[in-house]
Amino acid sequence: MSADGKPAPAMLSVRLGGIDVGLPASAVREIVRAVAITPLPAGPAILEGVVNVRGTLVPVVDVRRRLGMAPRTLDADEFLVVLESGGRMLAIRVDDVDDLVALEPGQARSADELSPALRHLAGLGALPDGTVVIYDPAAFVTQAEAEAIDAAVAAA
Amino acid sequence: MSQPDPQPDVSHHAEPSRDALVAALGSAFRARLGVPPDIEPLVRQYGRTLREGGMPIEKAVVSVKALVRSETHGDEAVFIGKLVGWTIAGYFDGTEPLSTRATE
Repeated sequence: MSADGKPAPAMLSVRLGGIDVGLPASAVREIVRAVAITPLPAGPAILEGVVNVRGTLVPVVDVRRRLGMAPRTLDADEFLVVLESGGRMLAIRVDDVDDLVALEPGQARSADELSPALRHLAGLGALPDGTVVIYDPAAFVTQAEAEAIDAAVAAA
Repeated sequence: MSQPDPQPDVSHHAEPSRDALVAALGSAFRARLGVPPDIEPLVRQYGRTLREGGMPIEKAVVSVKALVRSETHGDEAVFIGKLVGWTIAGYFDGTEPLSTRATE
């Protein structure tokens, strides 16, 4: 609990391409085992395809591409983290899920505090074993890509 | 008026699933073949049991990490990344989305 009485913001710490990445827990809707991703030929390059999560088609965004990481073939050992961003659901593939931590005052700094250039980041989290970049899920797709994804999923 | 226990004792409630997980972790550690797939349902069940016992998610994650540390004798890095994910997945399976619960 923070000093102002609000619950401390929570962060899901995941491993992605060998690095630690933080996701705001408030954006996380579900964690599921990786399943086969159905490609959508009409979708933008950032779209890996869609998965069916409890009857809902959820687009899977190639976050490795967005973050400039080497591509990785889908492995059943991975997780799909389903996120909600700007009213849209999207999933990203991650290698591992390491922790769910409540960030106490002083442990988290918002991107606004750091630099305007970091507007696509949600902030930085200081953990006992290092600093984790917390990504705003909105940074994973541009508005144009989001609209193209919507169209591709609607046409599926 | 009595107040609810802020830290309910879930140890008894979770004991059977904990025991099964401990046994599986011990076997996996001795086999030295990484994380076997048959451990996933046990971890999910453990996460679900902790939720049903009233444990907050953050403490459930701490609990499973402590279990991994004690049963794998320092080889935890192999297990943590999978077991934490399955714990969280099992904890919330069939419940409201994580986003409505994680900051409660």
